[in-house]
Amino acid sequence: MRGGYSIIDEPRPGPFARVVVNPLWPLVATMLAGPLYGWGWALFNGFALGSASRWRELTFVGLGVLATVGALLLLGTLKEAGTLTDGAMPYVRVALKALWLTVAYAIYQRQADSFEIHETYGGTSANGPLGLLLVGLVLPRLLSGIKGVL
Amino acid sequence: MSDPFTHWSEERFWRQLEYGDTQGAIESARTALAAEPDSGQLHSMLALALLAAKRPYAARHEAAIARELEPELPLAHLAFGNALLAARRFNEGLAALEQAVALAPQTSELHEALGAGYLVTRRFEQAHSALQRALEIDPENLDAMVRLGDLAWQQGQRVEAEAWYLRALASAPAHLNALVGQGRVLLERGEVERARDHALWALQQHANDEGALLLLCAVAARRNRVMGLWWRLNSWLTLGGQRRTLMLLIGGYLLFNLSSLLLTDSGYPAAGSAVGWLWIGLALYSWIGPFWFLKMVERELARVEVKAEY
Repeated sequence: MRGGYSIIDEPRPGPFARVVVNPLWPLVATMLAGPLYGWGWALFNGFALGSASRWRELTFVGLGVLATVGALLLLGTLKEAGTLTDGAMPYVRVALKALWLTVAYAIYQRQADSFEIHETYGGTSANGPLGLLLVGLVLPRLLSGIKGVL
Repeated sequence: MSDPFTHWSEERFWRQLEYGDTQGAIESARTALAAEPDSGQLHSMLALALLAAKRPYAARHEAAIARELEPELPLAHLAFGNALLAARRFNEGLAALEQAVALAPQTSELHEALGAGYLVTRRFEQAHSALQRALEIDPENLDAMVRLGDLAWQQGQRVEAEAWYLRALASAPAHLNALVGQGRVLLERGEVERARDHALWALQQHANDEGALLLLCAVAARRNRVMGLWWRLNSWLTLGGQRRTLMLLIGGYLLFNLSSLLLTDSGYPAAGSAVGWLWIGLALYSWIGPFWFLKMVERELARVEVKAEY
């Protein structure tokens, strides 16, 4: 039971607190479904949890998006110039994945502290594997289906 | 201290902290702060409890408030210094601890805390001077004796380390940190059973003591080397902080992917596939390892009979 004085690193759960999951699951979603779903879920989770570092997490995602766009533009230019061959593309993909995972891991590390405090004070968490199934498998297929119809 | 944080509850706070009930200590300080938000002493105490709960960011924040409210309060500088050390801001942390000592030069515990700070930063000569000074002021400061043992241990002087631990144990046979230190000496010497007894004895005094639990884990790791490997890796990662973990995770991921690609491209698809299987094996080991290892430690923990007063 928390008293009246508020400590700076404590989460302040919002109206979606019931769907908060362990931040490990959005990290796994980034590995399985890519940054769009993983980062998106991590951000939602951070705000639902009222994570003390939620604005910093948002900054990480912003920087990750900028770095990805920058890398894609650079790769496009190199490919047009003929510097980058098709054979090199699998290696480039690995480098991009490493970048996405770094961002996801940085978010995870910050959010994990808030989640631990959330649990210490009796906060509940939703079913992470079910969320992973929805965000990592169902949602991408649903979106790709909608894209196909449009 | 004035109402509602009476002398009784302040005493309770320190007892909660001593027995590892960090959450209880945080709540005690929080309740008192709600009524008395401008007390530097209370902010310092909350900072120390937060540090014990491994929340260095909040601890630093609280200690900074305490220093602002009462710049002459040694406890505020002590809490601030320790919070900075926990955040690996070593020079600033030591400066704050030195300030605490300057404000109360006759307090043995502050010299001991400064010595511990120097020890963390591996400034052995300064650590030795500070700890010896702590003992000069209070020859019965057992924590300072144990720290001197830790200092000798870190410098590879095993005999001297053991002498300090035994000296502390002679005065207080149930001294937690001395028991843990001596257990570590015994474990290194290969006396696994006696090391385990020391860990269990320490846990009887204080079931939450981190040092005793770590010693018990080290004993378990020594008994089962395959599962113990996970513990050793985990300890190594923890020592290196988040940066090391991140580098290893990303580095391992890159290495696995690149070696798979390179081997397949170079005409060795079987080797590329073997790397894949190796990765899966590692993933399985890192999944099963902690679970199995914790089961081993839990079996040992079941033997602990906690003291009635605990």
